[in-house]
Amino acid sequence: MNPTELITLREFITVVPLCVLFFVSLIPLLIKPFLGGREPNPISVLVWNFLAILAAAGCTGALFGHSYQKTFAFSNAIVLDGTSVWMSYLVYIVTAVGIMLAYDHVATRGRQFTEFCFLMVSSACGMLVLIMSNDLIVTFIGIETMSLCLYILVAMSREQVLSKEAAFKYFVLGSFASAIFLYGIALVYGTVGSTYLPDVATQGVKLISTNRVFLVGAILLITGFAFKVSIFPFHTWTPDVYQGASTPVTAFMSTAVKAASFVAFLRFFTSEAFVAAPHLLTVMTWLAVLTMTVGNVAAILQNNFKRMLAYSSVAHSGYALVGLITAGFGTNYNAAATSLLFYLFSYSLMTLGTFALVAVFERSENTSLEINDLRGVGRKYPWLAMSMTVLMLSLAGIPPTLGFFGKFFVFSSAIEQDMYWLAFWGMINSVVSVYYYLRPIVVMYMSEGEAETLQIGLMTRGTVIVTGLLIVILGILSSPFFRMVQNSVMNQF
Amino acid sequence: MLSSADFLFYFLGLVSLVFGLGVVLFRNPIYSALCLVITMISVAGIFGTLDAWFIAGVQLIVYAGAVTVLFVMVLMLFDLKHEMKTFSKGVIGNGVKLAASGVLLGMLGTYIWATYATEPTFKPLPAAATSSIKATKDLATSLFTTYIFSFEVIGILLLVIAVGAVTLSRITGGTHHAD
Repeated sequence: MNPTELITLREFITVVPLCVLFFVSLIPLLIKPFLGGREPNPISVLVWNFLAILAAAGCTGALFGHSYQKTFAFSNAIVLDGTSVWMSYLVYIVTAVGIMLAYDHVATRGRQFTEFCFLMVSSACGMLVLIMSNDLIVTFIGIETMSLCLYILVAMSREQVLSKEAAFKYFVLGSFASAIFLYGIALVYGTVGSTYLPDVATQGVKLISTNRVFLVGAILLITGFAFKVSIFPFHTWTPDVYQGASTPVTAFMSTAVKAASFVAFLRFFTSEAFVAAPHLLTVMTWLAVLTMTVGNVAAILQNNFKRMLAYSSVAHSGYALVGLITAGFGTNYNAAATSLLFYLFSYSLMTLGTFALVAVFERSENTSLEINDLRGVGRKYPWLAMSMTVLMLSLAGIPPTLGFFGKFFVFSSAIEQDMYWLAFWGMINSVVSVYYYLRPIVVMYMSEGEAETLQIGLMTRGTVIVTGLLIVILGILSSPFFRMVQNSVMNQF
Repeated sequence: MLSSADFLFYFLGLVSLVFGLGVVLFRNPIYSALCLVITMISVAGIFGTLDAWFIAGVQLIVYAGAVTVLFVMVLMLFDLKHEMKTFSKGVIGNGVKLAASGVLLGMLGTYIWATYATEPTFKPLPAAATSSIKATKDLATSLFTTYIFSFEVIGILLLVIAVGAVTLSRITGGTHHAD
């Protein structure tokens, strides 16, 4: 190889959105020292970061929007295909909304809003790396960039011992998970001789049944991913961290982070290597069943709204894991992967809206919202209550909302692959979850009381209503939307 | 019969194990940090016996040198007597810790042992690792060509850490009122 030809312009173009996002988000951080360390006007920070996200999204759209041709770059370390393009849009949307929520929220709009926004956008950069990654090393670096920003974001909420505790818990457990993941990479590299994912896939088919070191490496990698997407029994950090973090950060964490980690998980897991390991299928199936059940049962017991949503997000990881297992062990990769991506989209949209609503009704930055605090919302804020109802029904998976179609596609692809057991438990769990999703609705409309809102800006309220509307509209238009995602995934092979 | 290189390998392995245990078992953090230094040095020695001279050097300079100094500096900032009291004690707690680490160790140990005993399928290292200068040059070349993307992203990672550290240290208000 001639070193001068190693990075071509074509290769560089694949990471242009990433570079644009990162460098433009640096601008407000660089402005701050010129103001003598004073915090610049929050609106200008907001505008710069929006500009960064919009420019990056524009680059993605202009450069890759027209064709989803699979492109490799940087010695095949990253891959650009329909999946990464679609998921980068999701990351842009969630980051933009996350910054809007942070602008409105008392806990985050402090003297360090510039740094807050920079860390959030950098975390998004890590996610973009993660979803384009085609090599275990790059995956690891993506995960670390994403997570390190999050540890700091969680700790940055000015108040509460709770948020410091959450940050520390998340940091210790997250580093532990990273160490496990890294050890998995070492074992896989030791047996395969490469960290390049297609190599792992082709050699793994033989190795997984003959070489136990490879198997242990794969299990450690799966464990690392399971920590990040909070799959039972690695979910225990989720409620504490989601409760302790300030609500905009929670909204960001529970959506974009989970979606990006799931995409990396999908890329690792859908190698044909794992089809040859029936035991692994059994274990993964039980993990999915237990994740759904534990999440839903624990959510029923919660009175704190944020904790309830945290457990509900654990349960949703279980549903997404159903899609992942179908994609990894099934024969029809396209259908299963499409349904998983569609599910991640719908889940992110719903959860974003719900956490925006939590931000609206938090009395102060130091108390977290109990479900009973929602009493009387139905009368006082009819529009918010209406959106909230839609969001809750969608999370529960009731037609014609987007959440129903998300679950429908995941479970139907599981049934097509004869994985009846998974689909069966998924449906049982959906029924169970209706109980706790209906509770806030009942409290909102049926109980007398005076709900109070924080002094919260228009953008957060807007987010609640827009996501509510989008869920209904996209729910009704779900089949063209599904086909769009499918077309982009199809070109993968 | 053990050759001298083999003997050195196993001896250093033993040293790193013993002092690694010391890191965990000592109650005084300064002793733990000192044990860590010796563990790092012996690991560097192990890399040396395996002809990975560059990694051995990096291990010695970065870990045994810089990182440990940082550890000791941070330890000096804390009130050690106060910190030591917060260690969890008790039979059940220790039992759980032992059991958890034992299960992990047993699982990894048996799998590696079983696989290695039946078919040693670890890939042989590239032949270039023999000469230290050439190995270093090869490492540099692949770092700046094959792995250039990861290398650059680590730049973002480091910037994030720097910004984060400054941000966290400048937080005022809330829990930071009381010292």
